[in-house]
Amino acid sequence: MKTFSGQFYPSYFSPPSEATLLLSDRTLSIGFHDQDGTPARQDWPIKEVQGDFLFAEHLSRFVHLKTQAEFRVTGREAFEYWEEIKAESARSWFRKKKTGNLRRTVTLLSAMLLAGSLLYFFMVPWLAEQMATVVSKKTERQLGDSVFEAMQSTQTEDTMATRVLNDFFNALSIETDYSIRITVVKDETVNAFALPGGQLVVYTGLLENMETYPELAALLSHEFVHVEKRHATRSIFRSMGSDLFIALLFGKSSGLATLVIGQANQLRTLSYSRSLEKEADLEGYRLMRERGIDPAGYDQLFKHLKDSSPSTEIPEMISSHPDTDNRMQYIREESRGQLVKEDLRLRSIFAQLKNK
Amino acid sequence: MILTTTASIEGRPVQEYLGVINAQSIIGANMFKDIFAGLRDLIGGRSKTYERVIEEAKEDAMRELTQKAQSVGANAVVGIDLDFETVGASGSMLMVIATGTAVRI
Repeated sequence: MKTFSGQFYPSYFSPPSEATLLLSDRTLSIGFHDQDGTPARQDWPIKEVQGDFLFAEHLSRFVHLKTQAEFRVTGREAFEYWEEIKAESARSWFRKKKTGNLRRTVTLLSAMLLAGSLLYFFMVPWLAEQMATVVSKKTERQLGDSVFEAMQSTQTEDTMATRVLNDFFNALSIETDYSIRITVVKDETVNAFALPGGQLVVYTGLLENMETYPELAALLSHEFVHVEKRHATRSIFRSMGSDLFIALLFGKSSGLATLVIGQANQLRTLSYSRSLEKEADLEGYRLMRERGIDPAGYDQLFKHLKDSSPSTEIPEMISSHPDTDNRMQYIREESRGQLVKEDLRLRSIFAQLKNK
Repeated sequence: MILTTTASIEGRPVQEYLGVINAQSIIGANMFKDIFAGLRDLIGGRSKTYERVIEEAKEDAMRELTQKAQSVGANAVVGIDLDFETVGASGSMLMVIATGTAVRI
């Protein structure tokens, strides 16, 4: 914007008065005193103004097309600036100086988005997985133990069931570098989970419903695969990697962006979690097949899980586990034509659990 | 029309004081600008996107100040002071306040 001083002619016949002119890319404002001397201002939209330069008088002249009011400034400067403004406003909006070169900006932005998503969806998880694989078993164990200890203070252990379950697992004789320690916790929740490094936690709520030993074998083999395949450790590293990436990119200032991306991240973690659960199901089942244990154990386990949460008919997409019916389906398909033999030792250990 | 940050104008004594006037402009940089600026913060260098936002806010405030001066019949504004502040919950909006004394010279 620029300002000038000059003469204002409110109409063709009225005498001029001393006035000021503001030229900006939006309006042309004129400050003047009217006939009785009170100050006044007129704003003219650029479109309604015609500007020219009068060579003979060496004057820049601006005429308001609606009222025929005129403003005159000595010299060429005002007119030249006016020409600049007109040229700028005549440009299509995305070529304006102020908005910059939109095409370049859009290209740059989409290239960055693409690079960002590639990084986010492939590079960061891959790096995190690499990091998770180099974590030593000892570190995993420390990690799991610290979580376990934090949990222990709030829950009571069922020592009898703990002993039985550990015996049962040992009787399965699964080869592993991890030392698997099972703890049974007195809690009505129908649930069990694996911590990094070999701690398995089973709630009594889940054991109460169990009727046969293959079901327990299914549960323990499933949780064992979580440990053996480092699922928990990998999940932790992946979510840490994503969080770090988001924090680096967005800082903490843009609340909305972080929220949107956080939600997307959550869904991504869930889909990853579902793929891990499926892996645990299938690998766990493979362990059972090697030992000739009845795959119906998985079926029963899933049924009990489903019965315990009848209200949670949540869509698979927003769930951390695959849909129970899906899980039954793929285990049934895998186990078609499998030979089953009765394992008396496992059966008797399981009986201890029921007869206590 | 003279706009100046000094209290007086060389060789042009003030005839009449018309009062203190002020104008403000508050501008939010948008989400995309924030992302670009965030990247700048990460890799270093001047952030043109934010610089343009400041420039725009200053222009708006000065234009308004001039129009107010015109409305009170001034032909100059002296002692102009420009304040730049961030406002908004996360400080993501920029506020420019222009204050000055409208005078006749």
